[in-house]
Amino acid sequence: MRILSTATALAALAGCSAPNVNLSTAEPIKVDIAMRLDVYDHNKESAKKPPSADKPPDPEAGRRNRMADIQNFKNSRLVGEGRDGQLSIRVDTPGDPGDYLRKTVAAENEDRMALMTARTVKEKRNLADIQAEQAALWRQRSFEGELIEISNPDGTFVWIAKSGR
Amino acid sequence: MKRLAVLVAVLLVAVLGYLNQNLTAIVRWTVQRGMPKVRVEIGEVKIGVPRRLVVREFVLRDRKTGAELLRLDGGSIVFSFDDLRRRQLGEIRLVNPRLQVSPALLDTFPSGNSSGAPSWPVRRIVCDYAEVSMGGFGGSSPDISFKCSFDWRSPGDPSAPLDFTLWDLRASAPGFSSPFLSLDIVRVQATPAGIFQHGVITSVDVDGGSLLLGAALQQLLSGPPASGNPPATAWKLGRLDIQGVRARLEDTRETATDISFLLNTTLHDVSLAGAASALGGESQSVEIEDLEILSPYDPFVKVLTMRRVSLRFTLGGLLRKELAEVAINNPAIYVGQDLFWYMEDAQKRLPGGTGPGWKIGVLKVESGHLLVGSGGRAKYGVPLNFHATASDISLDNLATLKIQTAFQIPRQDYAFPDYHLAISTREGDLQFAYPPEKNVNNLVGKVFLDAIRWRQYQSSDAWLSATFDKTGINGDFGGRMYGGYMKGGFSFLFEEGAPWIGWLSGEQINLKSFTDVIAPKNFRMSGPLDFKLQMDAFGSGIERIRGAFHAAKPGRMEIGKLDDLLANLPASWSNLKRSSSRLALETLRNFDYDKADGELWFVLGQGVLGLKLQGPLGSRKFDIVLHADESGRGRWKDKP
Repeated sequence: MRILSTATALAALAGCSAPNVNLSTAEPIKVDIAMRLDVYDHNKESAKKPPSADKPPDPEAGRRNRMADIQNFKNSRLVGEGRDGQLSIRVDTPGDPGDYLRKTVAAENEDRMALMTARTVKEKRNLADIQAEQAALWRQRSFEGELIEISNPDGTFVWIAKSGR
Repeated sequence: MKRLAVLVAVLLVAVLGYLNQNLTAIVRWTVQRGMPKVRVEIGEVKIGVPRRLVVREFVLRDRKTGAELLRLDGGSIVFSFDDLRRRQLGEIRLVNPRLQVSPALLDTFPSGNSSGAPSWPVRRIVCDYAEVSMGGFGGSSPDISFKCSFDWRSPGDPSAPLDFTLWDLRASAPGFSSPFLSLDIVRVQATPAGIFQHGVITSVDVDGGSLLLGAALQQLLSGPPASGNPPATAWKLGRLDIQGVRARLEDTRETATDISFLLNTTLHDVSLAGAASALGGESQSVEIEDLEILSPYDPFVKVLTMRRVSLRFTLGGLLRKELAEVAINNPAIYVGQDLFWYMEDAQKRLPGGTGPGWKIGVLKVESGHLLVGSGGRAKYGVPLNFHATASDISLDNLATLKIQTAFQIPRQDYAFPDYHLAISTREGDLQFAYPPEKNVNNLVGKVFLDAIRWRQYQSSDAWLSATFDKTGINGDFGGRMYGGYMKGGFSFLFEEGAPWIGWLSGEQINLKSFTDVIAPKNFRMSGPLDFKLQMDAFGSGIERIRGAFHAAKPGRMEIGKLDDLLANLPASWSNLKRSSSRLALETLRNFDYDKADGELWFVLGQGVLGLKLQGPLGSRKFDIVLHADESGRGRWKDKP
């Protein structure tokens, strides 16, 4: 009996045409795609040669290595160029990102100070003058929107976002 | 009678003996009587053999001051009884006379024939070596010293030649230790009649010497008339011939270039004053080759070089600080910090308030070119060949210096491989004015360019304007680019390492043309694009770039690179996998958008390019992160 009823049902289905299923939509399908593409340059000399442990740290090389991080901080206005030729943290960032920021800025300032001190010896000038000169150069080379510390006519200093490049 | 004759003889011998014993005193008394205003000192006068009156140590002194007016180491007068009978002297020979000519000496001689003393002609006066010093006349009279010799035969004959040979002549102005004029040899020809009756010197020949054109000569020419000496206009020269006298322009500045030239000229029938005037008005010219002006702070840095400089002037003009014409050929101006240091230094060295400065009648500059200094060392040519003409330039104050001229720019192609830059200039003139309206220490100009190519990007119908000052070069530029218009600016700083900053913006750039250049066949967008870029660099190496772009009008993105993937989907994949992959890739490949925004930053080959597209079929967001190494360090490397 069970077999018969099943056979009857199959025969009925076989005798009918297939039903239409409408797959179109009233509105076009919207697709949002977000992709990230990481491109690595394996030919960079810096990538091939890790810094030797027995060589003294090179401030220039250190600065080049962290330049992208500094730029990222500047883009986010976390740091700015101070009047003493050093980077200054303008936003207190908590947690790991804050630790990384503070560590990177401290290393950057250490390298900058090493370079400026070397110039005082080479050019026989005092450090304050070199710092002021470097600060002016940093301000001049800052991009529009980056934070810089400038002096007011009354001798006080103020932080502004650089404008009008 | 015989006794009388013996008596007379004894008396004569006694007189002669007395005269011989007291000859010095007698001569001193005689000379003193003739020149009452001087004190006469005579060492010894004696009668020598044969027929010679010998004088030793003959000195004339000013009676009031005791100053020595004339000193004669020795001298002799040769006479014969025949000469004495004819009331004349034979030969006067002067030995090493040293004559100090001053107003006091001139006063000591009796004027005219007032003495009434009988004149005794001399057959010959000869001197092998004499030293003469003239001075103390004050005013505009120089102090002059020279050595001379002469052999004057028949001085009593008014037409007998009187030739002097002078050497080691030096003339200096009162108050100046160094002579302004030194002459090696001067030969003077005259006659007594010419000198004493007509005031004429037949000829003066000068051979060799030096003339310093400076403060001393200027003082003499501008001073009050001299006192005590005859007016120069009273004397006339039949011929004045000057050969080989090197004239030098006095300039005590350490950095000043030594300018000297030879005087060679002949003048006829001129007065002494007229000779000076004619000599002063005669056109002279000097050519200086390979002149280099160096930085006041670094002797290895040039600020200006000139292949050849031609100066045309007169001596009188030089003394008035005037140059008739200065023609400069092939100058190169090294625009850099040192040039402005030099200009400032030159400005400080200009005399202030001590009289008029130098003036140039006509200034011509031919085939000049600019070289842009970078960091004070590296030099890069700038497409400017220029010529200039200016007149009536006053150099007494650079702040008031005004030059109106034109730079001529040729049609030429220039390449700067280090910067991956090539430009083609358009022929034309660039009007140039110094000083510009706002900044006196600044040069301003605008150059039109047919084409600029930087790497694979091209612009046409462009212009470039630059200003230079001591901190660096600032410029603006603009031009057509891929259907739109771009403009930008730059600042090259005169600092160590040649840092520079630049910015570039574009409006209505045809994205299709632009992306065809960036990534032909692999990536294409359409529609107009506005963008803005900023960059920092040192020399030819770009350190940082940051920018943003925006497409306000609808367009289409096509990633042609995916065509290869679509055509080569692995055959081993199932139909379902191949179909779903094709669907996904084609969704990604083509996208119509209404809005497109993006931003980018790159630092030394690292950075992020973000692109956001919004369209009727959704959105696309791409982040391309460029890594310089495989290190995961750095917050910006964190994946979202």
